[in-house]
Amino acid sequence: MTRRFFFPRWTNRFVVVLLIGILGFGAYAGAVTWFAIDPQLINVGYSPRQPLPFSHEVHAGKLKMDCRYCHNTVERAGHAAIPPTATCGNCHSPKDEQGIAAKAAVLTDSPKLELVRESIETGQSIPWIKVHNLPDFVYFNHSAHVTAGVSCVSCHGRVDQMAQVAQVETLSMKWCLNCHRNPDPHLRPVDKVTQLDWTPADDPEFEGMTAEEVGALVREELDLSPDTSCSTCHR
Amino acid sequence: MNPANADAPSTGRKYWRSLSELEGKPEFEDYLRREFPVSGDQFPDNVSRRRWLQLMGASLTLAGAIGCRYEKEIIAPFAQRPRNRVPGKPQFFATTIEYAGAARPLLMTCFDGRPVKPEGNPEHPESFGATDLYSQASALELYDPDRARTGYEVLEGRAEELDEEETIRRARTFFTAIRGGQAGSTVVLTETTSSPTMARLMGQLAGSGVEWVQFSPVSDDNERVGLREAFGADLVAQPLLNQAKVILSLDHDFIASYDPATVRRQHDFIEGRNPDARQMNRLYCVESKFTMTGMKADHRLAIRSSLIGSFLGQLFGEVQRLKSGGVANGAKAVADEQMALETPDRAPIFLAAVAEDLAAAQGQAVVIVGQNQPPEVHALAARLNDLIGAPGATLEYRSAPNPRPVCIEALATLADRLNAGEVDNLVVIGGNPAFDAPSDIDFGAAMLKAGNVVRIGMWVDETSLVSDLHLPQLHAYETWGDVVSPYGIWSISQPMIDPLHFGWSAIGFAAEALGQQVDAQALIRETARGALGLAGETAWRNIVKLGFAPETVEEPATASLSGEADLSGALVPTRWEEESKRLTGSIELTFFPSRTVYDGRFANNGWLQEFPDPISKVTWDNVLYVNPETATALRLRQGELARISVAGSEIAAPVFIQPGQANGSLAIALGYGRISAGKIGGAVVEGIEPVGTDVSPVRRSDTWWIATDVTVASTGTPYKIATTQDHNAIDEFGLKEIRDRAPRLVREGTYEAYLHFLDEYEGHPHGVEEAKGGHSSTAPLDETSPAVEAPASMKAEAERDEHAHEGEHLYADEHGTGHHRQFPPQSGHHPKLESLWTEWSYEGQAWGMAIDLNRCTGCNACAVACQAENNVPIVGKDQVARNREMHWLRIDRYFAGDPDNPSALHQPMLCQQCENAPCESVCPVAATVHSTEGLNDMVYNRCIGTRYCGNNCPYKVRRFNYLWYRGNPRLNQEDGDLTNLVLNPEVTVRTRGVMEKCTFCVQRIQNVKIEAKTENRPLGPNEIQTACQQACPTEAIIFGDLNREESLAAQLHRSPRAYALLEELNTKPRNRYLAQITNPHPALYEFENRERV
Repeated sequence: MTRRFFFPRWTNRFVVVLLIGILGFGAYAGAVTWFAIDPQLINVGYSPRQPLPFSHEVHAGKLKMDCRYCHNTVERAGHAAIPPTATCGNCHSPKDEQGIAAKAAVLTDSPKLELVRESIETGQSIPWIKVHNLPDFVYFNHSAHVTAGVSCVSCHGRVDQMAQVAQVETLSMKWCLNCHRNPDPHLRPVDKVTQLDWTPADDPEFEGMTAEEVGALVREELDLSPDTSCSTCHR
Repeated sequence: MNPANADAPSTGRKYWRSLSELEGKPEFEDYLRREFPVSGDQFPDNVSRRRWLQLMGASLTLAGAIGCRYEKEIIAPFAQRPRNRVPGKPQFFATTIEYAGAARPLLMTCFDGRPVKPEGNPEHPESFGATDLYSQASALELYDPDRARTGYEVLEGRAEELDEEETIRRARTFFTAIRGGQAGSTVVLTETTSSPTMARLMGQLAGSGVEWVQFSPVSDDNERVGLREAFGADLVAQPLLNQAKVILSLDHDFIASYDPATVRRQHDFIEGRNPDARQMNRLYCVESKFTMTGMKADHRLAIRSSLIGSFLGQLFGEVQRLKSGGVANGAKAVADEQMALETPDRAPIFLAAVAEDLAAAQGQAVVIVGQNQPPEVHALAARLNDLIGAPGATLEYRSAPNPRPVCIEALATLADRLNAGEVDNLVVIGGNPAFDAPSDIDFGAAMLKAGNVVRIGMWVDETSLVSDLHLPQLHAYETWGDVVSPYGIWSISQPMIDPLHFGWSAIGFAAEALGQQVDAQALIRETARGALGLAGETAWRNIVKLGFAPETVEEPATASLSGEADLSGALVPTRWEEESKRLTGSIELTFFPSRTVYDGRFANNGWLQEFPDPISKVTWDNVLYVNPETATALRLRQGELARISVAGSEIAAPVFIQPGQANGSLAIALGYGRISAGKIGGAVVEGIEPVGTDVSPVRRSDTWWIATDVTVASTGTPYKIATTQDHNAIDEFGLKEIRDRAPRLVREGTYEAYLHFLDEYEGHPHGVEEAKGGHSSTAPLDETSPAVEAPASMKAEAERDEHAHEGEHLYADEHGTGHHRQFPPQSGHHPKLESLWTEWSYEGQAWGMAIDLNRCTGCNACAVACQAENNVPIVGKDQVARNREMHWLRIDRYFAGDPDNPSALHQPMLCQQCENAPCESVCPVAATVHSTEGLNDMVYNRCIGTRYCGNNCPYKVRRFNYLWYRGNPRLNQEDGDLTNLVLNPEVTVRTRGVMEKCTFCVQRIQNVKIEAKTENRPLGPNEIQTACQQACPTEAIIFGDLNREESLAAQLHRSPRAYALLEELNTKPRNRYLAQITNPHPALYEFENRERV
């Protein structure tokens, strides 16, 4: 009589399957969530294809142009602004009907520079894709860091070796705080911040000193005390 | 005054915030008991549970779909970056905006080419870097999505959109026709303006037979007519309040933003009111409604507006008698006489005191009269001013800019001509005459009679709907313009953004109608060159940089009185006293421009609609103010609709019982009940109800400001008024505790007692230094004041001395100065305050604020500045009624004294940045924590919305985003892109479910710090200004580093008037308030406080 209220014995194997299923799905969901929010996985290596193949490797690496030739607001403003097309035009200025370029005429006819010429002629922006993208509630200020002796390389890596810019650091809050708590390894003389391959070892001025020791010198000289309060970056 | 009073605790005064609180009504008690008002925790009615679940489900799905990386963002750099533009850095442009003929000089902060935050123009002598309510909200107006974006053809009251090409074609055809005169007679109707360029162009247009009529529903016509009567010339009077020792204000409200020179006048007024510099003016107010000036008055007399002329008549006679050496009854004698009576009357003592003070202060007193008073009162006030030697000393006369006929007369003539079919073309630029013209003129109907009506306006409003063609108008931030400020300075406005939509300005229209090239800049330069003689590029560049031409300041006009004073009619001296006692009989109704939406032009401005009226704290409504006694007599009840009829016309408005309103006088604000304002202010066509009551049916030519013989009756229909008055009840112990505490929350004392205190104080070397706490930069101490810097050895001695006198001192001052005495002295002892936690020490910067209640006029500019700076959303009437307003800075208003004749105090209330912050210890997720500089940081991304912090905050300054207010389609509108342009990019936009509060403008702190650091220089002691501080016309709010001697805030913290709020809770707030000092007339003061004596 009461038998019919029980599941038949053969259903027992489903329990095992179900258990494995639940555990397996839990692990899977956990793993997915974990990896989906891990800054190392989701941010590092992000390297979108830009609308035109501008190569930092050529400009900053081979030609040794200073970062600030193009990103000229970096010492004055929060943004290290992407340069206006006019800056490109200083070297790659388009030819007019007579075939005369207004300024320097480097690779004037290159099809890769079509967008630059078009932008200069029409005044339309080139739609660059943002690589290093912080959330909107983070207020990072380039000028505060660059004038304090934090090199571009600390956050952006060896851009002078990148044909297509890629993100190399996580830019996570933990990563920011690591440096704010212990800035010395990342500080260097202010005039060396855009020299991406600079090391104290190559600099005769700091012979025999480690990066930390140089950083400590800079920190004392500029009277730096990076704050780790929330309102330093969040407003 | 009795010197024994000097040390008497000021706690004898009764403080209250609303009548229901005072009377302990059950509603209020119920209110206090609940954490949130009725249904405060429920979702709004218009979203059903099912819909809510759908929305939640949808947002979950979408959250998944967004994926694992941040959104791909595009950077679009300029092809050619404009000169001096650094992406992400603000730029500042000096400009001027003209609201109803009054110049508001501004310095606009522009981010990436969009004007975001108006500040006062620090170079302009009528701004001093400060602003008013309206200017602060002007940026929101620019980005209003309801602005007309193109032309409209109006057929039978329906506006049909035209495309841009068609609009321009029709406009051009029309302009050509009126220029050539083929189209017949043309009249141009504009708002009153003081623009010289507009006057010049209209003068030229007159050549082609185009007439110019000016009309504004609020203007200085009565003053102009009155002064013409007295002087025979077109003049306006400009008081120099900093020069005056005695000020009598008759229905004048120079603290309200609708005053044309409010910033300058407030600044001047407070300059003459600095007890630390031992100079203190005395302000008397005679008025029917509670004005903001009345709240600041030392003595206030509430009588009907229609009786003020009679009061002035008697006062004039009295002063004349005193001046001619006649024996007059002194105020003291009158007071003694009255005290002997069974029912003593305050009014005669008031009059005697005013007369005594005015007569004594020859050349140091001034009488100012409100624009609602009839011309004869202005004329008589001019004679009284002459009698007390005001002209040239405390008052200057200036020739009225752009002389014109009286607005309503001009409009009536125009309406007659329209009705007679004499006008072929009517061009209406700006204003809104179909909404706000006197109802007996019925201008809307008259407009339909014109052959062709072209409307140039920013919105398709009531006037557009009775036109034939609507053309879009440019905002003042999109075009060039000019205006002459009240004190005679030619100021310009310049475009800071390309027109968002295309359109015409008034000047642009005139130029195009003249067939000139429409380059507004050239037209303004032409004015500079021609009329003002400022030729040359350098002069022009300087004007554009400054926003005005300092060379153009006109000399004040000289004026001599003609004829004799005629004290008849409204000015009969004896009338006011008898009639003001009579309650029944003539009930009057007075109109005043809304303190928030003015004449209705700001009806679609959400910030201003939601802004609590500074006195009643009502939002999203205009209400009928009536005093308790009159309400009882007329059987009116709070929150019920009353029917008001004037000469056969009727309106219905909700009753608001306002103590301090004159007996037998009702008051209601203009500017509400717009039927075609937009999605915020009401758009009947789209099914959006108007906000508030339109008063125009009862506002006739003969009842333009004051209507007498009004009948009023309650309809018994309840009406929901959303007021913030009882919101944020500051503590949970109920009424008694509030009443006990109020005197400690808002402290005040008399000037005489303060002087007495200072003298005593100066006996102690320690005290000398403390007494120097005034604004040393703006108002140096008198030479007579014996304040000298105490040498270090004396300081040490004082320190020892302090401990010897420990018994006298009440509260510990934790900023290293030991104990100090406070004014007004506080009764009762307090046990030593100890913290449960280890106290933090602040070595570097320690941010703090000092708010001087004596300087605070309650003008509310700070609160709107805060809203503009910090991206504070609006929530709508429904949500305000549920206590959910989001303002980070509110102005608490306390009434004090007798409910029949209350005085009022303001107290700006914002996060006190407590060192022992009670909010921090209860947050389960550490979303609110302290910074190393003592700021109470709020981390939005950590906040999970428990609201424990808000509950534990004794100051009730935390605000919770119950809903996603920015997503509300009615308030913030579908066109999110446009309203988003007003957001300050330096401040995070908060989302639903997050707590927020004042941050001390941490974005400004950080930016100035970074700037100093990148320039490798130390931070200046007073370099950082918070938004509220910058907007304040009277420098009542001072922010700074408490650890630095040179910082003004630190100096003010050591003032004997300084006190912390609820310091017995040991929250260690970083804000100090400075007690208000009043300067009462001794005899009147004694009378008013007779119960206590």
